[in-house]
Amino acid sequence: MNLVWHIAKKDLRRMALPVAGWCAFIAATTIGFRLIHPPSGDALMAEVEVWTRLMGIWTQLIVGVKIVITYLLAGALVLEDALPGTAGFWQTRPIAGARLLAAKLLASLLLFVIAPLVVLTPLWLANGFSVSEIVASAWWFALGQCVVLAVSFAMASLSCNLAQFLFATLGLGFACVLCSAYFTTAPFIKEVAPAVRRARGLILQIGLVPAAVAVFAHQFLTRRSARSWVLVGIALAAGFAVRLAGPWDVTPVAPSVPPTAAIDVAPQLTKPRDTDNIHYTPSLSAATPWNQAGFYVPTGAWRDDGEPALKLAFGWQTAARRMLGFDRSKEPIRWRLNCTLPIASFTPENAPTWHGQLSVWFAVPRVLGEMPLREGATFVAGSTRTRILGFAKTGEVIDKVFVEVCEAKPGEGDGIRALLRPNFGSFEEYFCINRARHEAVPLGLWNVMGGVAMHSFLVTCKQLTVSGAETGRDSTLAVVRFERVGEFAQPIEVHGLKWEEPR
Amino acid sequence: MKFQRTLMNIIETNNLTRRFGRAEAVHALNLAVPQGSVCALLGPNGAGKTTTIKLLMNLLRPTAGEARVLGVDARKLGERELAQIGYVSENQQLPVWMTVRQFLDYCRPFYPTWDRELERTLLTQFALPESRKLAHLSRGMLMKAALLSSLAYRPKLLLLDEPFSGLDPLVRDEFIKGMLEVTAAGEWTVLVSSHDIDEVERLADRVAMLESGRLRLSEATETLQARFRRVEVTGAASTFSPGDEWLDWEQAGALTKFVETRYAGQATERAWRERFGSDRVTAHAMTLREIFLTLARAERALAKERAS
Repeated sequence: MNLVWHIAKKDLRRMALPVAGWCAFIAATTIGFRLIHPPSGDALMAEVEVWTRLMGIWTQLIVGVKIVITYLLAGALVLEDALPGTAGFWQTRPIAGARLLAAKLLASLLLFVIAPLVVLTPLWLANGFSVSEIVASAWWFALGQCVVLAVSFAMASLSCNLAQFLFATLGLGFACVLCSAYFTTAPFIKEVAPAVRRARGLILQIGLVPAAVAVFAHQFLTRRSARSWVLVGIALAAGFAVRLAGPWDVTPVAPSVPPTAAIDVAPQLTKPRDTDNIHYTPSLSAATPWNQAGFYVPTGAWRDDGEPALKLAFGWQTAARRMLGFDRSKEPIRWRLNCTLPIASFTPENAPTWHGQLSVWFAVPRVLGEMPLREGATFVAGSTRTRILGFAKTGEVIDKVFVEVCEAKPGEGDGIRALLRPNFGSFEEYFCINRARHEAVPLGLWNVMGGVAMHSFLVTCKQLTVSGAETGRDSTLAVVRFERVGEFAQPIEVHGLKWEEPR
Repeated sequence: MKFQRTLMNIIETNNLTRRFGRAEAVHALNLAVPQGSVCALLGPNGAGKTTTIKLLMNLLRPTAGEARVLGVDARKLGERELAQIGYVSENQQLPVWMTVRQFLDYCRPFYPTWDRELERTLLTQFALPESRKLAHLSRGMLMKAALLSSLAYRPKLLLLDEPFSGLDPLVRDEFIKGMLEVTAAGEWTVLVSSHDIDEVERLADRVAMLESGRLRLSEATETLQARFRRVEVTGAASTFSPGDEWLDWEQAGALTKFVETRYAGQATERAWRERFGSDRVTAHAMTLREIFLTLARAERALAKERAS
């Protein structure tokens, strides 16, 4: 271990300056990201939209640069003691390949994971991240870094020098772009079920790391470059095989046992007489008045265009109103799901039998805060900061409210697709409150300007519509957040179809 | 039995062969370097000297045959063996961003036998500036730093691959002097490859000559120089053919010149006089360079003859 640390120390000294610069870059860009706000005032949504687009490009550029720099620095770290060739200094010294590998891994962990986390953690703390959010953010950041490091280590371990490393990288990158283009456009790929197609992509992404680890571990331990290249070839062939013929559907499913016997799902498919939509309306008895259910799109319920065929469509607002104290009812909340399958031609007489899987999430609402309904008003709750950017008015009546929400979203903007992230985390409901009149009017979410993210900070701009309420000086804007606390899944089978009677 | 053999020969190769594609860099090499000797591996450019040393250091894998270094198969050289081997090569990539002090501090922990006293002595002897980066050292200084880092742990075996190449005469002289002092102080075995025969002559007590990847000779310098003589005969009779053991045969008028490869003192001289029918026969001792050139010319002529 002493010698491992001794070699690692040498690499730390060698890479200290470039990595310090890289960490400064991360800190500066993150601080810059937090300091730049969308335009406010009686702004048109178009201005916010432009801001969001520009910020999106900027953050993607920053994340891309961060990945490229990590890749190059990690490659340089490995090339300090190049593995192929016969002129390496370490090769003639009593340094075993396993020892060198351990030293390189230790140095890269300290330089490319720990050092930037040391820089980012104070920024996260200063922005109200909780311990669990910091841990999750650090985990996602480390995971993203490890993917880049694994690929960089693999390519660098097969290169004699920086030129070879860059050349091999360019070659591999070019090949990946070509393959990706081919696999996206090939006609036979389009015939594959979307869930299977997604699963293939997922397996490839997850398989990338062990394949890269196998290549560089083999190269470090044996220095047999030809065999290591064979391993690269095998990994690529396996990738092709999975992409072309992988039969798996690895869509994650929730636990199949309901957490409580108090829940009873009774599915029933109904169709309104006047529309083409089919409503799938199960009834649900919940354990507490706050429990809500979401719907996870099951396997086989995807449309050809890749969109979910079934979408959640029921009132979270009821639960939120109860939380705000405007609804004293204790009745379990009923919910329903919309099915937008193009089955307009189906009638109750010829409706098919439908099999699927129902996933239910339990979410607990929490009032994040309330703020005066005026421009620039801000409230901070933990790591979430909500600010009113402006209004769209007709005379003195507010039609729309523009808000900026900056919150902690571990894993966002780390340059890695959050493979293991739950498809439901949390979301907010907004209310216009007038306590004098005992009114809590829900605001409709009209538009969301795509999230701009960097290092677990997520900024979204929302356009909320106000309807059916008069807003005065006493009015406030309240935010209720729903956070997932549990889930279960169970298979369901729906037979036939029945007309839904108008209410 | 094996232990005894290991004590006898620090390096042993058995039909060691290395091919690069169709080209054969080393062909069925059978070389033995006894413990405590300073062996010079000589040969022209492309003879296979560097390849041989790389095979010994497990930097290259043999196509056929095997090499044993310190009694271990070269392909299985581990940390323990490498801690007893010093290696200096003209092509080695040193961590040139380090200062001389940092470089030595980096190397030291890998060697349990590192001698701080010897390190200090060599630093003074080689006049190396400790605070200067290796990148800022001259080529000669760099080689000295590499040599220092390979000597300070008193290796049992020192492998030097063209250590004099690119050094100016003064530095070369200092380098060799340093080498001589160090090797004289210990029971070290040295294998030094070079095409700079004059310099090697001062160092080596044993010579191995490679030509086109083949070992032409391997013996003690003393015996080699003892059996080679440049012979000049004046007034020789013209009716005889040269012997098989004679090289570089030349006859111009009454003067005949050749190189005797099996010189054995007065007995040989007596045999010449009888054969040539002349008393005017003079035999001159040869330097290693002359011997090497003679053998190289003979090899080339033989190759040409084979080709035609």
